Amino acid sequence: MNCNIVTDPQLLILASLADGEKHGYAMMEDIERFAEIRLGAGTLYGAITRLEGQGWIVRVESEDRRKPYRITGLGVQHLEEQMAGLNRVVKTALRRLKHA
Amino acid sequence: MRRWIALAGRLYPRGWRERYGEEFDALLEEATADWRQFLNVTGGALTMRIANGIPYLKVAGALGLAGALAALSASYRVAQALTATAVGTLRNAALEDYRKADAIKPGDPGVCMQIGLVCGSRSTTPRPSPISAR
Repeated sequence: MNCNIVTDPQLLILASLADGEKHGYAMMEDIERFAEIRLGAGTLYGAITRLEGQGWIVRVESEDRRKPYRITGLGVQHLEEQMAGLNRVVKTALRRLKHA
Repeated sequence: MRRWIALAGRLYPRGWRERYGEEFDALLEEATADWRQFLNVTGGALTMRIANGIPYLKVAGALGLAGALAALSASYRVAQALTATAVGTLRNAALEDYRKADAIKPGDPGVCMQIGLVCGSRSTTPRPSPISAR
């Protein structure tokens, strides 16, 4: 079943990088696997540009044309805050569903 | 399609391409190549240009030019379907004047040109002549 609760490309990328550095195509594949969302190349790199601008990810230098990215401490903090908020929403919804 | 997507990737601003161009091109070589990807990359380029402060007038001008070219192309395809036609009636006296001047003959499609009507559709869709011998 498709899970559309998180569709923000920036959050999806941060979640993808939370378990290690990845280049663009690897992120695309990983996000499709865990969120069942296929990000377009334009969407992916638009989000990467913003994330890097905010200091939430950094590019890892590489000889390969495909440059890997790594989540920063600020990025981890931001992802934790967002997931905590999402967790509250999910828990509230599940609790209320029990009484529905 | 992959070639079109690669071309769309060239639409990103120069500064952005200097930073991300090489890895972005590498991604486009691996990613699915379909019309959705093409639209996604084109939209991304446009968004990035606007975000990078490109004058809106330039974007509007480029889109306007693209629209005009598309309309021009379409107009050639549907020209015959949209050709306006008109049938004029000449009074006998006026018709007689034309005949005396040997300008027209009954049934001659050239009469349309003589009196300023457009004859485009007559070449593909023959119709009864508006001028008939009496």
